[in-house]
Amino acid sequence: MKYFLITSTFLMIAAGIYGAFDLSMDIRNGTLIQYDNESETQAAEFFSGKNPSVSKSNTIHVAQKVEKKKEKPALVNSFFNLEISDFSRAMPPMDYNALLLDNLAQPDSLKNEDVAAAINDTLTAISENKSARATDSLAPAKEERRFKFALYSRGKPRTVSRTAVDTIHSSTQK
Amino acid sequence: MHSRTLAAKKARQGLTLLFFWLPVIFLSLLLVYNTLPYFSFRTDLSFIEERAVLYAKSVWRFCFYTHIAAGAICISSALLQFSSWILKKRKSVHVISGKIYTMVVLMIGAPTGFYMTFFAKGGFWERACFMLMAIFWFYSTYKGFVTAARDKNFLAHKFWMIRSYAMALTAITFRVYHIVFYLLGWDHFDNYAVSLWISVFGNALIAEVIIYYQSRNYLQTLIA
Repeated sequence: MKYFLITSTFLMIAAGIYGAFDLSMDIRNGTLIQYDNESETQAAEFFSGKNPSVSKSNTIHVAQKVEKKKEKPALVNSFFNLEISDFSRAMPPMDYNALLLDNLAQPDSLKNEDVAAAINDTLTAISENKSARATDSLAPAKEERRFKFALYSRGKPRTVSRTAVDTIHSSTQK
Repeated sequence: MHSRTLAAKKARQGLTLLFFWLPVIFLSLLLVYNTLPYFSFRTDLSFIEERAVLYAKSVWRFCFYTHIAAGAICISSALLQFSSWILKKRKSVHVISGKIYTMVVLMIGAPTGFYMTFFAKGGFWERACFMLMAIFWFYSTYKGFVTAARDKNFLAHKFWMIRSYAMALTAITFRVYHIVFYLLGWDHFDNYAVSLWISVFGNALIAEVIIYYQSRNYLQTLIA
């Protein structure tokens, strides 16, 4: 019982001493809590540049609160700014590349750097493909079509190798 | 004893139960229930949002969580302590529950509360009031324990524990006054300060009145 009472008294005194010390440190650093809720931004300015850890957390907290407050009116405004054309069944672009770009270039996608990079890659690939088709003759396209036919035909399953087919084909042409 | 005296005594006990203990039990359990969300350690609760600067301090955070846990335990355990039936028929329950209450208040509740009073809401005088309350809560519980465990003076033990419980109940009465003054349309900070002072000194006064009436017969024997 004696030790219990001594320990509890010691804890109480220690709490008082540490509390007074902590309070004096806050007063010295200018980081004493302000309970006035109306001037949040002023409080953030007051705290910034004093105690780094406390001021940082306080600033983040205040910024989050201000952002939350801003979000609500923004949502309301977006609702009132809607136009009838937003709900119209307008024809989407029929060109494949335009449709692809249209899908990729959504506002959410643009925020992501990876998506933006992917869009750039696609654009370059499309342009390269176009230029290649423009410069080359029609022969590769025909070649391509011939290979596709051979691969996906519904005829008998192929029992000979591709090289054999090619040699047969070339010999018949000759 | 005369039958009319017995009837009056029973009626007084019934009224005390109805108008004092039932609201106290209900509000105590409500207070304990309201502390539960804090144990999810969420930071979007208004009490913590308001004290974001303090919450960044690990010592304050530790004191806050241990204080509310200690408060919930001591408020719950104290409900059993003033039952005369438990004291007569189940004395061991009274002793165990009393030890839990004393240990929690002296080792956890009062020291952590005392530390937090330095950063309490309000001006200088409100903080001073909180400090006074924490010190008196500690002292009255300390005396209540010593008078029972060491001195075996159970009358003094009872009176000191009434004082201690009055301080513990400030958590409840403060909120009751705060809601009442809010409904009356008071300004938040005025409401806060007045509720605090009334709850601390009002509870202390009520405790002294109860002690006076309970010790009246004993005081009369001293005078005689």
